[in-house]
Amino acid sequence: MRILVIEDEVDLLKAVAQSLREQGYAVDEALDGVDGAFKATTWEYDAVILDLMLPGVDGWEVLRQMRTKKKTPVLILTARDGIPDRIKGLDSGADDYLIKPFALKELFARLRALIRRSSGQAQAAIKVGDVTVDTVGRTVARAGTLVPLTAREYALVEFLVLQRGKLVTRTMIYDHLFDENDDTLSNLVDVHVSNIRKKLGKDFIATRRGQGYLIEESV
Amino acid sequence: MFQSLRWRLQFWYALILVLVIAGFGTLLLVKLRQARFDEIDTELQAAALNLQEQLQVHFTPATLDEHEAGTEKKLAGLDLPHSLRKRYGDGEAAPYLVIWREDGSILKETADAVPSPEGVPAVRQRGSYREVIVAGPEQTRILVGRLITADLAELGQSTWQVTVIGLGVLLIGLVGSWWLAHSAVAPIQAMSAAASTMAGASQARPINLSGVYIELDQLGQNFNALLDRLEATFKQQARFTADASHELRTPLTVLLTQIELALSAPRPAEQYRQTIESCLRAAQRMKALVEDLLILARADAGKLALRLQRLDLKQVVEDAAALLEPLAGKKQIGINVTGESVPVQGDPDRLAQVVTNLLSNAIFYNRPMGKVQLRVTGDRGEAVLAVADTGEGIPAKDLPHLFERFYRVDKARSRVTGGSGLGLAICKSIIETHGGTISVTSVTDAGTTFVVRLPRDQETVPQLKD
Repeated sequence: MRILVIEDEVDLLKAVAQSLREQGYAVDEALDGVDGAFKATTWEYDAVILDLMLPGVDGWEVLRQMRTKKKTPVLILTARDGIPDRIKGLDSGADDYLIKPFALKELFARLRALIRRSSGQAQAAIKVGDVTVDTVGRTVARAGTLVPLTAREYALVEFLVLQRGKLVTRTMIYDHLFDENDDTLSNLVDVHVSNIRKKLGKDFIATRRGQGYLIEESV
Repeated sequence: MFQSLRWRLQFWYALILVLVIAGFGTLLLVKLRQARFDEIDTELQAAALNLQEQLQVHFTPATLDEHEAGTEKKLAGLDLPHSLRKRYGDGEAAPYLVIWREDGSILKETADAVPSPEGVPAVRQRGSYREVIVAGPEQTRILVGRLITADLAELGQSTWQVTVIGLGVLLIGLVGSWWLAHSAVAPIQAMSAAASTMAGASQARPINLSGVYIELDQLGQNFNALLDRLEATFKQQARFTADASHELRTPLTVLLTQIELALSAPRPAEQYRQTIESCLRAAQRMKALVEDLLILARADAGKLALRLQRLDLKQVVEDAAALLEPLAGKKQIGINVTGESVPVQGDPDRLAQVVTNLLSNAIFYNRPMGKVQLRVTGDRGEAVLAVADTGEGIPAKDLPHLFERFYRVDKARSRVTGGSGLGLAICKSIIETHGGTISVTSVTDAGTTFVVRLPRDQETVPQLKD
């Protein structure tokens, strides 16, 4: 999953970005509204964390610009806790609202809920065949037994599972697994897919030659 | 009770009313009585004079003096005018006469009367008998009198009537005055009640004073205007508190998030160090903010303590310029200090704070290779400092709000410098506590000029050599 964090407090931005990366997300950073709006409207993110008080272009404007092009879930992060601000935020197209100061754990939980919801997923645990993906614990079990996966592998599994039934191109996978600063070679995707097949079964991920991968709806 | 306006009004009004009515009533009664007695006396006197005439006509000095046979008969024929007798009848109230000689012997009397040695003419009252005495021929005395109980009774009646009416008028007057005092004082009481409900509340509602007296109208208007200002102050204070807590939340969030992250897993020493450094930065920001807020709070309460001493304003400016020279150099901005030495009474640290703030703003909001001009002049009783930059200027709509707390023209810029939006508000508080003023003018794309005016230190002290 790839997240964009738009926050003008450098120390805060770094802390949030690092904590998300440690959770297994790929994270892009933006320090002002201009950069944030550009990235948000150009790339595909699984969620955007947006601070309202931004220099240059303020948070409301970024949200507005985003919403003309994307349906990406947006979580607003701000020190302004007035009820009018909350209402305005949610009505302007944000999906959730978190007041500073906040607990990182709460941020993670809300983020998970947003991502789950945007892929039409009702529960935290997803079952595909004999594989169960726990999106909260970020673990995968096969026939009841926990399967150890690396952070990247888990991220890939989660992404494909949330998109199950749909064809996912290699580029899409790459875009959702690595952030802008990552210059990993794109064929690493294939390596990850291969490793996952070894651990979860050859049929877990199906290949569409020349197009991409997908996980079937229900095996 | 005498502290109450209402009771005071009533008391004085009632007192005056009582005095006036009593005075008037008494005067009326006195006049009535006097007129009545005058009437009685005049009548009696006319009768007495009539008798006097009769005596003079019918009697000679000789006959008056001696008791002749004829004298008795003549005396018998002597009488009060018929009309008088008819008027008062023959009963108790019948008029009577007494005539006596100089030696006291009685010539004629129709009733038991006591002759008196009083001088003539005289009027006297014996109990309920009114008597008039005139001089007759040959040193005789003629007295005519009658019982005046009826007249006295009538006078008594009048007195009673006047008293009752007077009391009635007094009563009406008092009721009227009570109503008047009440309606005069009622709006004042309304205002007082409105003020007391507002003393505890944090909202100021105006009171309705329509249709009352003109004098109170003005007071009411002023009062409502005061309430409006109070309401505005409440709102401003609420906004200030909200802004302040918002400003504090941001560095707090940095602290909490950084610490939460650092503690969530074992970290290399270098990362701990970086975390601690960012915590330090956040804490320093909060410290600066809290100090700024404290200055403003003290200034608001009028308790901004200044250590006043005689300063040379130009020297303060030069010192600040020297301090910020390196910063200006980095942006290639030239600082130029001109003007004359002008003495002021000021707190050296606080004034330095103001000049440094203005100068650093001028440097920061300047264009590259721009200029900052600081000029100190003496203008009559004032010392004037002008800080002019060649920046992009401030939009006209922002100028009136520039010195407001937490006001930022462009949220972006001040964040980068770590400013809280309180710098200019603090400058204003400090300058105003010194008894001065601060103002700003700006031309878009040309520059901005801040002007500080301080009272000049008037004492002429011989300049000491440094």
